[in-house]
Amino acid sequence: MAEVVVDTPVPPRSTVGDESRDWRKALTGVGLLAPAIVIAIIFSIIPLIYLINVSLTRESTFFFNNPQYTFDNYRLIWNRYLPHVWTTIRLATLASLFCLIFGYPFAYILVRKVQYRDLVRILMTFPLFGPLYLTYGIRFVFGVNGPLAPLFDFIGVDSRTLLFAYPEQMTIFGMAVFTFPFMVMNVVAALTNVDPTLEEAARTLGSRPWQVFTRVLFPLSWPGVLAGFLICFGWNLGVFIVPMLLGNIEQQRVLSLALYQKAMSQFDYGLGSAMGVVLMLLAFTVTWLSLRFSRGALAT
Amino acid sequence: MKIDQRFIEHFAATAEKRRYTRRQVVRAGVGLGLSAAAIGSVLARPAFAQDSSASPAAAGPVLDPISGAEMSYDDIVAAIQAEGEVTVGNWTYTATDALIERFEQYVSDVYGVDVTLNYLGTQQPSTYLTELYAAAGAGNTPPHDLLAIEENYWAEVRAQEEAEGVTLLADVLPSGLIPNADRVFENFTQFPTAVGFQASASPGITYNNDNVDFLNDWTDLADERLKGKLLAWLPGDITGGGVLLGVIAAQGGDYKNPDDVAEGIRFLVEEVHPNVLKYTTDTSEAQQLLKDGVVDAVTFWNSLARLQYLDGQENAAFLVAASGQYAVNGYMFMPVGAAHPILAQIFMDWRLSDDAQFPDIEVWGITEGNWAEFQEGFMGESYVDLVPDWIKDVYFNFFPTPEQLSTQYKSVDWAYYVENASAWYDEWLAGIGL
Repeated sequence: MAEVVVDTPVPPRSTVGDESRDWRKALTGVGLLAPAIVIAIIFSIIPLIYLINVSLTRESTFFFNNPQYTFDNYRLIWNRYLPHVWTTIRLATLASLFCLIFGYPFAYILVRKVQYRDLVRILMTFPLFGPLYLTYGIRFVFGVNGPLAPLFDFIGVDSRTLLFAYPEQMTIFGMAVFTFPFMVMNVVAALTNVDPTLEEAARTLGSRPWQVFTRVLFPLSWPGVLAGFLICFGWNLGVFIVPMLLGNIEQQRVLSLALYQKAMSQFDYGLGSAMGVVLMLLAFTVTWLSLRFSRGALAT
Repeated sequence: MKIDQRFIEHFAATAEKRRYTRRQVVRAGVGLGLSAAAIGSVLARPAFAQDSSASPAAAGPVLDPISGAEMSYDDIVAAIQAEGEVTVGNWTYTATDALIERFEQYVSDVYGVDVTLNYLGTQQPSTYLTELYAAAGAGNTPPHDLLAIEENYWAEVRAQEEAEGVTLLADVLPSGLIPNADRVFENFTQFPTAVGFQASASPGITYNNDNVDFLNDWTDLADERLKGKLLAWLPGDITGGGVLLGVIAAQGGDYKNPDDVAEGIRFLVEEVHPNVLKYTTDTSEAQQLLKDGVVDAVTFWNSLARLQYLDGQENAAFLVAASGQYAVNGYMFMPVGAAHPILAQIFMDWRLSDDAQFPDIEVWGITEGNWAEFQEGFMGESYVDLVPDWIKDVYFNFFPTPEQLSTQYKSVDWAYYVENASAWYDEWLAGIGL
């Protein structure tokens, strides 16, 4: 008897539920992202477009009656304010390096050695109260008749002119103190994820301390170093009160200070906005370059 | 009991003599341990009773130019109750609790209403204008009911009005609510939109007269004996602008002549700049460095000399330049559409009153230094006799006489200044490398 194979029809699988689930998934994703997108549009994208728009106008006001669109503001920055751009980059870079040089060992000790690290972390965040307070504090400490004046006089440094004799150093120091916590916190986060046994293994295999640092510790903590450096650099690009109060002509020649003067004192919102766009482009460029050269280290 | 009563009598007499406010009576009474009944008996005296006779509307309705309405005393009280607060933009150093308390007490005493004075201070008054323009551009209510800042900022707003074809300032003067404006010399008024509250403010040179005896005019800032001993205000606002105008005048030039301006800037860049230890925008730095002898001269405002003097630096002096000073006084002006126009006008009137022009340091609870910051010369003839005894002997060392005000203090064509100042600053800043 021939075997009869009955091809039992399989009822078509309903896709109604799947589609609904897919939609729900998609909607959930969009729904979760929506607040962030809305906030980004309102507080970031729209102001950015507005800033760029104003930067392309000459002698514009908030009234925008018959704005004249031009690239003159950017031309002026190129012709007149390029030294300001370089000074801005120089000070921000040096201050960020200062943070790295002193912040890395500090972070290492904090992670590996310090018993009350939470307390130290809390104390370390004090500079974040603001560059204004910090700068006045530094000026008081290092200034004429400040608490360190006897010490400086004792070692032969004229405390009356200390702030004026070393304006570059004082400015970089002031900028670095403010951003120091950003560097330390990022490096601490990175070092916390580095297994201490890797260092021990390297030492056991004969590596010297500097080799442990350069071949094990630093490469593994690189994402944190980079993140810390970028944040420090970004902050230091825009800070103007520190160079204003601690610097002299050479340090006061920063874009943020020129921006403040042009926009807030002289009401040239077009040029001020153009300077703002340049500062932002600087920050974006550095971030992009760093990500590129670190091969996505931040993503790891 | 008899002794207690004598004590209360003595306290009341002292409070009357020192023109205590009702709030001060309560505070002092509590501090002295007086009972509530005793304090109440002092407050019941006519000197501390609500004094509606001090209101401009005491004799009858007065015109409010903002609404165009005649307002009786009761109308004003109702308007104050409805407004409840007023926001004034001024400078950092005058935005003190003493001033706020005194004005609030004044409103309470005269109108029987408790109000809040939001008194804002900044060292960069231009930020107020940015906020005003931003609000006007967006069609919002202006953030300040009244601005009390330098005259050039008033001119800047007027220029903005003209350029943009918009109305930013209210025509508030003359006003029945501001009768004290009639006491002010005409050259300190900009009717219908503004009235001065300072008479002798001027950017200038404050110096240490123990170390410096060669300053006579603005051009002496180039004297090589000042090398590394001069603290200069950063060019970019009216403080630096006043210095530039002064230098041009000292060179015999005219700030309306571009060649003279160019020569003035060249002089500041090539002759004065080498003497500059530092450029600053920080008043406290100027005070500290002058007091500590790090610098011998500071280009700032005339008030610095008397502040330093009253702070114990007796060798601080202000140079009234041989070629004259440019007056850059504080003016009060009200943005159009201000949310609290009645209280703003009452504040304007109060600011020109005897009490606010020549504060009693004991009544106000302020230091002599604070007083020197509030006081800025005679606004009119009716103020001349108000100089308090404690400073009478040295008053004219730091403040000009009415005659000097008319002979040595020059006025500025602010419309011209506003139109050209930005280019001047640019040239000057570029010259010194900024």
